[in-house]
Amino acid sequence: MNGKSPLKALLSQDALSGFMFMAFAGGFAWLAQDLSLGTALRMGAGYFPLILSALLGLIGLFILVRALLGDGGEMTPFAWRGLLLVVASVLVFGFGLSGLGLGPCVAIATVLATMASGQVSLRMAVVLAVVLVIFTWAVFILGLGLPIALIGTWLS
Amino acid sequence: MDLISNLALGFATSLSLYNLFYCFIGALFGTLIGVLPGLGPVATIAMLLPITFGLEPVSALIMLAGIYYGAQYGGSTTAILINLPGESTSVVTALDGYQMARQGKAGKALATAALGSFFAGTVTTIFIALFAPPLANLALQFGPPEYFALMVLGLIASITLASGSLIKALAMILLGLLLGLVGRDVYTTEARFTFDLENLSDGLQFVALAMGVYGIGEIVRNLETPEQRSVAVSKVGGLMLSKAEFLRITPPVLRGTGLGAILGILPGGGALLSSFASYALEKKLSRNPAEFGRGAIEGVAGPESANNAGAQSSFIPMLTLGIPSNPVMALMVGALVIHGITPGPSFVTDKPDLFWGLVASMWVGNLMLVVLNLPLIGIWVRLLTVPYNYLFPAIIVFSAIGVFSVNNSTADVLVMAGMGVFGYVLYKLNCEPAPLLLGFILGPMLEENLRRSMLLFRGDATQFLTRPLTATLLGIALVSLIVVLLPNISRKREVVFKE
Repeated sequence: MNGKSPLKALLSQDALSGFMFMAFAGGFAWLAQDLSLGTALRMGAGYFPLILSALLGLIGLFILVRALLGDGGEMTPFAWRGLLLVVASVLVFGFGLSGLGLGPCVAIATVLATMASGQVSLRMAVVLAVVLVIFTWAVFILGLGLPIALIGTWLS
Repeated sequence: MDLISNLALGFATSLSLYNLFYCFIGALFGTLIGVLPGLGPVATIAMLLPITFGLEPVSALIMLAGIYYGAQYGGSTTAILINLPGESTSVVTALDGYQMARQGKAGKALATAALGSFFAGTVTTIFIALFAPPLANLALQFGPPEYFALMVLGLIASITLASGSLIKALAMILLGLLLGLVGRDVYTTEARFTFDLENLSDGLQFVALAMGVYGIGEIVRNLETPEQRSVAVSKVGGLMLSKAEFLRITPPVLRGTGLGAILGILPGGGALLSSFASYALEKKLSRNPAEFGRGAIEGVAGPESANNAGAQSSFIPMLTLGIPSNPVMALMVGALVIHGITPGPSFVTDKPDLFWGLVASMWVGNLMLVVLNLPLIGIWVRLLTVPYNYLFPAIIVFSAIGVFSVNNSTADVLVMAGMGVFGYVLYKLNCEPAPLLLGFILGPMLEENLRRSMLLFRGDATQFLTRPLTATLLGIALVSLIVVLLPNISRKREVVFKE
């Protein structure tokens, strides 16, 4: 254990990776239960995923055990602010592109994203948003003719 | 004489003023969009696909080739200038290319990439012309078992190239294979792992996955250390390579070209595997491997040549067998079908003008890039003067619109958001994402060939071991897996990668 506390070993990079792989393996295996298994000759939809899940689970367990016995690498703190704001600005597009339209989406997403670094003033964020709205409109709607409205159905 | 007359036919087709013009437009737009951070070849091609619809098949194919090379080169440019690989093949280029840029040698890195790619493109064009027809005949004799064994070998080979823990790379491959199976099963039509969501029945979109893990995840990762990223490289330096540098890049370019041309033919090979393999090879052969990761010019020359050679020779299985070996080729098959062409064994003989025109236009496209990009490097470099804090919101916006544009699907944008979180978690857990992506692409093909093999073998898996070719391929895979996983070797290897 190298004199480390068990909790620290459990929260190491490798131990958490092991948990993650086992969780994915368990999840896929559990979902594959509902699929036809078939035989080795005629494999059903669940056959190959079950083999893969079993292998993944075993390897995940191996990674976990190895991490508990040795040095699993220390976790560094999450950049929560950046993560939440960056993902939020992507979600604006995912949920709002058809309803809000390209212009409002680009503007909102840009302002949200600039807040992620905490180093851009609101004034500059608005300037950047305006530039990007014009640019994306010119490139994607005018130039490439993507089927997106500049102003979406919710607003018109 | 066959080769000469065939190539003459090809050049006669592709060098018509009309087709040359479309090749030029394709290369220009491909680079323009491909150079935008976060937009790799797949997204670029997908976005530009519609503008080829109105053209004759030959012109459309030639334009697509131009777009392809433009996008590829654009991706390398972004990787070198701002360490943001548009897609996985440029990841390796970013390692040393970006370090060169930070040392004020961006111009040299870009020139090396362009020259290496052009050389590789020229050689591979001849390679395709010489070997595509006979190789097609050989490959035609491969059955599902051979394909299955080839893919297993390719996957195992890829983990030996991943940096970091091998056992974790193996787990990432398996996870990638599983993620690749999401969607409707073609044999039983059962919906797998879709949570009854209609949007998932066609599977997860590769572009959304790749852009999420690499693009979005990377942005969050950069936000952890804001000051570090704002180091803008002001000096690009000259484009011209010194004689000593020219001599230094020659062997890596030659080796990269050879490696890429061969690896590109393998299913699942292509640009990704080639660039990784070339980087590992150059590092191994280098007299001072410690320089790698700190701006070694060989680390740009080798992988860039390999990736272009691989990108090009991966056309061979696509054109002769109709099997796409990577997502770009999958898009190309789609484009061909739209123009009424089904790629397959008879393509070469049935439509010689189309086949040889495409081969010749590959070379023309490569030449176009050197002519177009070396003078325009100044424009691409301007990207660097924009601080990262202003650049990354733009990258997010372009990525979101880019992912949407592939299928006009907002669901894909949501997948990208989720994959962004996943990519950041993988980074925090020190898990390399490249094997995951390779597994993802090969998952469905691997399963299909396994199923067909088992039908062929009447359910007896031991027949994999009684066929000489499959036994050999699987044997090599097993041996390399064991060798590489032996505790002391893997420890040594980790030391080599860390240094």
